[in-house]
Amino acid sequence: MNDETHLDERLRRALRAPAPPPDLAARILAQRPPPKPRRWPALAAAAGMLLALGLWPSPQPAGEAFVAHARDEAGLRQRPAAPPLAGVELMKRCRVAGRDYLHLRLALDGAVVDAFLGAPPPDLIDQGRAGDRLWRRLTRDGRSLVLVYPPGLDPAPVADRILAHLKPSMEVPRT
Amino acid sequence: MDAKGFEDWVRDHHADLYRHALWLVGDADLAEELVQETFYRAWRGRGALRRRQRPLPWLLGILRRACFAEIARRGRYAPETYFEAGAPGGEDVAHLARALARLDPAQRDILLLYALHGLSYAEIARQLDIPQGTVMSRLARARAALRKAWGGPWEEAAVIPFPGSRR
Repeated sequence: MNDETHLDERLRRALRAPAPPPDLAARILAQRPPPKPRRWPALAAAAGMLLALGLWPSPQPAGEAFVAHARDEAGLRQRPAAPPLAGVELMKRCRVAGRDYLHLRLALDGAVVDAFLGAPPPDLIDQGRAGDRLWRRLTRDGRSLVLVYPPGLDPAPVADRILAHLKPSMEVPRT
Repeated sequence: MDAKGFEDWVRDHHADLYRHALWLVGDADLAEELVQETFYRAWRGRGALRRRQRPLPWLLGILRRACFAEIARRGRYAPETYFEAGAPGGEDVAHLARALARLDPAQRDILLLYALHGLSYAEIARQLDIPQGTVMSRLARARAALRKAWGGPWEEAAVIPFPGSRR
């Protein structure tokens, strides 16, 4: 076996090592059609809330099936979502240690605020810019909203707007 | 294509599509969503698949467009979370993930088309909409970059067919 073939064999073997979750095929078939809950049910609920709030970013950050599910979660199928709020960007939706969270970046009156809905990993928060401050509030049912905001900005209005729309049924993980 | 045919597509191809997405975007959760999105779009657009056309290249086209849109949106490739957290394959796979992180997405993509799916040069040329000669030269550059990043005793050599592929 020459070196090139050896490289190809090693590459092919390594590329095939990861396997999909065993239930992935079943989930794909279950969602066809209409789209059914996909991965991240908690995030679909949270995204639905953002749609309802008009906080859903534009351009669209997720696939149409995910958005359709999120709209269902928010009860928006029969009514339009609020118009998108300019200056909101969904930076990341992620699952860490079995918990989902959303990372939003909101541009408010010239200030940038990072909002973490759910359970943001501490190291992500630590990446906040020097001088930024951390603000955390637990909702009535124990869910968490974390804001990383610059000095001089009052985070409460931002948080209040989001928290006011949190519903007990929304499956944002507890912290 | 009927529902039974679609089920066959899913069962036959979802694993390799998942691997393609995982290696290309470097995020297992995102890879799952991209594969689901691919099949959702495939089902909705199934009328566009020509009779006797192989489904895999068509599905790959849908998946790759979705992957590159996500890469453009995210702007970073960080597979360490998955590949260094007890993922299957051991150290060599984790090492490959680090090596692929040094390649640009287009180089990762062409290596996947070639080595993971065993596509012919002609099929890769159609996927990328470039001439076959360009496929060969890009593949040679990608392999050279991988060889340098991944390590090993290999020397520079011309591109040769992948064993078992249709070339």
